[in-house]
Amino acid sequence: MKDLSKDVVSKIKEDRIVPEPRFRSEWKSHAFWLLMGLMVLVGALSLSLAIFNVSDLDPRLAARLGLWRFVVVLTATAPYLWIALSFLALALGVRAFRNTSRGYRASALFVTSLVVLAISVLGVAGHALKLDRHMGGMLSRNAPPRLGGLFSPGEGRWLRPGDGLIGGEVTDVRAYEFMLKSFDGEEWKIAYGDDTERRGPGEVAVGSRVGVVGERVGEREIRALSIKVFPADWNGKPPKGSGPHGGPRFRRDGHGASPLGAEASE
Amino acid sequence: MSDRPYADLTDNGLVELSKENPDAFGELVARYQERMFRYARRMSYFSEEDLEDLVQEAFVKAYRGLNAFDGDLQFSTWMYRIARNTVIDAIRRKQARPQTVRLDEDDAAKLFRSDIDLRADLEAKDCLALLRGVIGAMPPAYREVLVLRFLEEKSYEEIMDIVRKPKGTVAALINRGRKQLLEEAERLHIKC
Repeated sequence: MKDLSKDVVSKIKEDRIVPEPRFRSEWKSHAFWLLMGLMVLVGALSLSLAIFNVSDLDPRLAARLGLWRFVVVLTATAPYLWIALSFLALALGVRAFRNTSRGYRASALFVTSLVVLAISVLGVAGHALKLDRHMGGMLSRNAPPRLGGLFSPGEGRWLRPGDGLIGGEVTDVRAYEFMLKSFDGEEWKIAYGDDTERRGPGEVAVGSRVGVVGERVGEREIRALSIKVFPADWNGKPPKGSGPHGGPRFRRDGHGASPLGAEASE
Repeated sequence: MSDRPYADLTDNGLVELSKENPDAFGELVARYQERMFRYARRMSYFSEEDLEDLVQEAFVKAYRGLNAFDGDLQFSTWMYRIARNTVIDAIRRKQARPQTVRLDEDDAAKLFRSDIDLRADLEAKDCLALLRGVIGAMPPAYREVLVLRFLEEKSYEEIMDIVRKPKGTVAALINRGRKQLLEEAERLHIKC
């Protein structure tokens, strides 16, 4: 072959070629770092929403429902959208990292572990900071009706009276029973006893939102084994009404003390 | 005055000097042009003239990107990477996969020798020609790592930096490539 050195130098001089600024050569790498960061944030938020959507499923429910029914409920109402989005963000995050200037040097296991760790830490932090609650509520309120269950499968979990699960807003409280307007707008009578387990913050009061685990004993009647009072901002939807959190915190039993308030433990 | 006034400088020193003085870059070209030409020939099916243009193009690209060269890689490794990308781009431009790569018979023997003893009598030209055909028909991903490992005699780390793939992937490609090469040779009863 002929000596190219003179040709190359001549071309550089004739075409007045100069070395490009460093950022111009490396903008792609920076863009992939940015994409990776974005994917970690998306993954963390999705994970946080997934945690939020299963956080009301206390493992103790398994004892009340029976393991099989618990698994069926969990499978049927798992937050698949958020789980899938978390995995998608993980895959894209790993891919983006791989395309950074030195990303190819790290092993697949290392990169995946790194991105999983980042997503997990930020996801749990997001859950602890209740970002998921606000985001979940916003999505729940704004999602098209048909897709609501996809974004917030948690509400659907409490619309399974056949499995002994019903949830909604308390509309009337009497001694050893209260009326519940379920999340899908139906009226239910909930009977409870001294042995009914009470979980969650606050009392069962008009306007509060609760999830009931029990046995269906009539067309629109459930005998509660466990009642969980959801936080006022559960799923970002404050209860309707005029109290500080929307609902009056007094009880309307009028028949003496009920075990519900007295045994509030959480 | 010497023909090569910058011959005493290291590659990294030449890179720094070249940013101000393109003549210094001529020394880097002189040092690596043959290796790049041979590598491009082994990777592609272009004519000698086209290969010279490609190598020239690769060096001009390298000059443009001198500021991105931070000494983390050896200059030769960085140059191989640029040459590889230039050849791949050229193949894509021509919208054709290499039909027959430009491996000579020595190249074919080098890729083959560590597992099968070469006969002392290398007059078996037909056999090596067949072998060259087998190598040329291999998937590019295998062929390129085999060329880098056994013909360019690059380490796994250097190959990793040239093809921008993790070391484990490089090792797997080399192993699978050799296995495929030997299996195909056995299937065709090639025993050089």
